[in-house]
Amino acid sequence: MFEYLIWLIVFAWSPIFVLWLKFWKLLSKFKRDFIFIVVASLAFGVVWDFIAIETGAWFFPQEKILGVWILNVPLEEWLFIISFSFIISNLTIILKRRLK
Amino acid sequence: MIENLINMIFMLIFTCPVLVYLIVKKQKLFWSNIKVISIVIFLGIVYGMIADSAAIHIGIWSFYENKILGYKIGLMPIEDLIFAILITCIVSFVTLILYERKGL
Repeated sequence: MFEYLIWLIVFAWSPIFVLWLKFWKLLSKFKRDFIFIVVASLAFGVVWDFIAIETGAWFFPQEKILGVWILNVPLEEWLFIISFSFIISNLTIILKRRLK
Repeated sequence: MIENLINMIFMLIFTCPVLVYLIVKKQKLFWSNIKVISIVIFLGIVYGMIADSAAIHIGIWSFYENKILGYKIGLMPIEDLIFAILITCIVSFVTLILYERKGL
């Protein structure tokens, strides 16, 4: 039931926590940009997920997720899209600044 | 055979037009930041392979074998690898567009 959530904690939220702990001063300047990226990713990703699930391109075993579905997409998948678009944009900002 | 391409077709339909549009529209910005984008993509591939393999091993998500090409790197289907590359590229590039607009 909690497998996907635990996976998100390990592979998504832990790196986000570490990045913000180390680079909070830089990253906090881009809060609005991160919100834009996340909202755009959701608008795009959820439609994609919805179609993929409906057509059977991939599936989520019921016993590994909480069972909360929003627009026919599991809650964890929404969190996946939010988390990974956030990590990628965080990393991009850090690298851009470091390689300047 | 066409059924095996379903996953790949979805991915390409959802990502390629956006990516091509952004690159054509912001060519200069894209090429001047190719180093940053490449590093982020590289990290996305390496991290994606580890995280995706773990997810498939645990059984968080699964693919119907008849809906994928069948080529895998470890447990990760080739479709997921291409997904990691394309999505990372788009998100990273959009972030850079917003970064440049800030003029920092």
